[in-house]
Amino acid sequence: MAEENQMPTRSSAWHNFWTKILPAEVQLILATVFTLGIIITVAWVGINEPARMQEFTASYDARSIENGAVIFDDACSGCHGPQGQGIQGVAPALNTPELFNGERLAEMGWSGSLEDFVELTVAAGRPSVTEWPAAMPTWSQEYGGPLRPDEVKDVTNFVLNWEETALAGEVLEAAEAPPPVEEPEDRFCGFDIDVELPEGDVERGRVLYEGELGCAGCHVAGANVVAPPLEGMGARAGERVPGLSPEKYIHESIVKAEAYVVEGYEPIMGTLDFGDKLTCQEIADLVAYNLSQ
Amino acid sequence: MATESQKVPPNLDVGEYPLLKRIREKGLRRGLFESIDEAIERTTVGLNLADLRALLQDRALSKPNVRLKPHADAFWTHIRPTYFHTDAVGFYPTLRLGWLSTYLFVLEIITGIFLMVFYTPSNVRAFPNMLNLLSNVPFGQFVRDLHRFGAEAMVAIVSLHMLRTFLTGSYKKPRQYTWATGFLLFVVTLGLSYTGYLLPWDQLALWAVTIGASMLEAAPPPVVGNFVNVLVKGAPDLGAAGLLRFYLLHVFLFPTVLLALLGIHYYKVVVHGHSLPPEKEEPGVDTAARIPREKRRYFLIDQLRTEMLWVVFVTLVMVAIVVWFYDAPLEPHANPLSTPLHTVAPWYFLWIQGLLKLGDKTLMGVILPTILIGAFTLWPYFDVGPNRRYGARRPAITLSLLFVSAIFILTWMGTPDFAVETSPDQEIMFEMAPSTKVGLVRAIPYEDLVPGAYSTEDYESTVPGDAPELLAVMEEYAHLVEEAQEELPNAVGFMVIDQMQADLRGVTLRLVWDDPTQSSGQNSNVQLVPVHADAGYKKE
Repeated sequence: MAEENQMPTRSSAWHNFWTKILPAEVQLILATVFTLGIIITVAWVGINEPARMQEFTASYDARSIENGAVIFDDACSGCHGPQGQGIQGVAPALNTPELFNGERLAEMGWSGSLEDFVELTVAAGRPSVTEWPAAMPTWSQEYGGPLRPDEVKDVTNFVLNWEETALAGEVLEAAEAPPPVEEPEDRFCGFDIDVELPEGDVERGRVLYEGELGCAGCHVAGANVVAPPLEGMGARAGERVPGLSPEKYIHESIVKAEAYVVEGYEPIMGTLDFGDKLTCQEIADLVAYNLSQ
Repeated sequence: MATESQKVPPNLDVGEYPLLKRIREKGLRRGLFESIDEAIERTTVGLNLADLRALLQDRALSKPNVRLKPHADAFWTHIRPTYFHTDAVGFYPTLRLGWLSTYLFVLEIITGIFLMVFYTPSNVRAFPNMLNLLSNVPFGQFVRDLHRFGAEAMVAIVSLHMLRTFLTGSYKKPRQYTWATGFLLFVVTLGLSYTGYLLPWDQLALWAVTIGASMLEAAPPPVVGNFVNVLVKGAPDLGAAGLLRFYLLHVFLFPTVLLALLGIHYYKVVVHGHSLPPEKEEPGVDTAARIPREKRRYFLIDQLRTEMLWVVFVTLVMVAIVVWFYDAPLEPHANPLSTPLHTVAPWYFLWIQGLLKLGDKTLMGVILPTILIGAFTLWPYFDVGPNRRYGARRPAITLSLLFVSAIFILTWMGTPDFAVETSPDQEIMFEMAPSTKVGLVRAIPYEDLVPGAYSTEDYESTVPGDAPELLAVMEEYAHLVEEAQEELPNAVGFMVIDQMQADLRGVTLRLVWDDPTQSSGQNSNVQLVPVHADAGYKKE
């Protein structure tokens, strides 16, 4: 073996490293050692698997709650309150013992689990007439809303995570108010529909509409339970209120919806106060998107 | 209960049972041994027990050399040369890169089949499947890491294999066709790696693949571009249909094409043998075509043993890397509505992203890569000089090194460090709490996130002494805001931490700066970053 592999060239350590082949016995010993190394390492992985899987599960449950918190902040806190404490006359409290001690479930005649109750309510909304004036919109994409199933699950996990504090009757102390950085009053566009709007962008409007504002949650395509659908808006907008151009009509519907409520719907849009939440650019984008439909 | 008559069938003709016949004729021991020997000889297509022992013990074999027979008659050995030139079997000149590429392909198939068991190519199920794989499947993370690392290693190894072949001039006559199939194998490898990139259906996958797939549209003329785009993605944008198509390309079409090309590639190596180091043969002479008897190193068993040692060694290294040093990334669920800041293509396509920054999408993203593929495939048919010596090929070697340098520079240009303009407030938010990575804020331990309001101006006095990590991040925050003062005049960064729920704290980042274009004279950027006690973020 050894003779066979000798290279008939200059000999240096470097050259040997490049060209020489280990003797068969050394190769076999090394291969055995390496194989044992692989077996031991894989066994070590196997021994640690249960702990690793448990850790991963805990971590992704936690991140699901975090993600739910962001969605809640964007989409739910407007009606259910930033701390889930509910808003009088708008939407019920979620951070409350009744939700977790079974009272609310009994009231609704729900015999399933609390998790299913919350998840279904988030996903499908509550179209039936209840004591609350604003109907809960559908949020899951499965029912025409804007959220993916995993996001619905995230929101559910976030709401259920109030259990401990709600049952303990503990009121969470909010942190001190942020230092007085005044949110400039006129950063937002306000409620006057006569302001000059900048050039709108359809694509940005679509992102706002389907994404963070959650408009698609109520204005569901093909359904007209909670709010009028979006289809054909571009054609309808000019005909609703005599004297208002299509742009002005949509602008008014966003910031001052109570001025004209389409027959058959509750006046819930006006409670959202978009004039205090949107810049003129954002309103222009939304108007452009509406007109394109 | 067996009776005497059932044990031995009455009319048994031992002629139909060679084993029984042999035992009857030669006795139990010898009859059994001969039958086993014959079975082994049939299985190995030509090597009986004595031959195998002689092979393993490196003794002289009978004449004619029995190990030649399996190469002529058996499947697994017929795709390897019978023997190699002793000058071509060391670490130099091949660096064993070709064998390593094949090994990685096999590893990808094995780990890939494991992953297929737990995967559904659906935009609703794919990401939950990933979470299930990582949280609920023993060895799930290990196999996924191995598959991902193996895929990236395969791209690197195949590239190096190609570079080595080019530098040693091994593509020259008669191996031009071997080179052409080899280059196409490289292209298919890129395709495999790229289509696999999309499958986890996280933000990383969606946006990295979107960058590359957007070039499909640019194929001229527009009617072709649109057709190709919809053909591959199943819709104008990547979605449910695109994921399914990428999956089918990944697990079916590309592996099939790769296997076919690999068969040709291997067959050509059997026909032409391994080329020698250029300095070991006379210019224009292909020594591998006729190897003198004393220069032969047989595949069985010497070369096979060396190759197996190499594979075991590489496996150990890869297992160690994925267990201790490498985790396949998994970002949040893919969201077509939200583009993360600083999206990049997979690293092996960064050079194309760099090219795209230099010019038109059609020219840089479609025409130039197509020309490159054509030029590489056909290179040996144009570079026909017979001399393989390094000294005789200075222009070709210079060209190849320049090309490699260009790829490195373009790769750097593909990263966000080159010619990407974003607003400085977004950059600060990205450093603090990016949407798809950990960032500074989430890496703060939960205990250190003491509820309160802090700002980049007064944090030194307001951050409690028992929260050193919070202090460190506030310092970094202040530093980022300070650096951006030119673009964000009088900028102040705030961080408000409140207890949202048990075990959940909300960190609200707010950046305020003077902006005369706003009627109020000020502009701001606000972001909520909830952090759960069990989230387990690790510093990046």
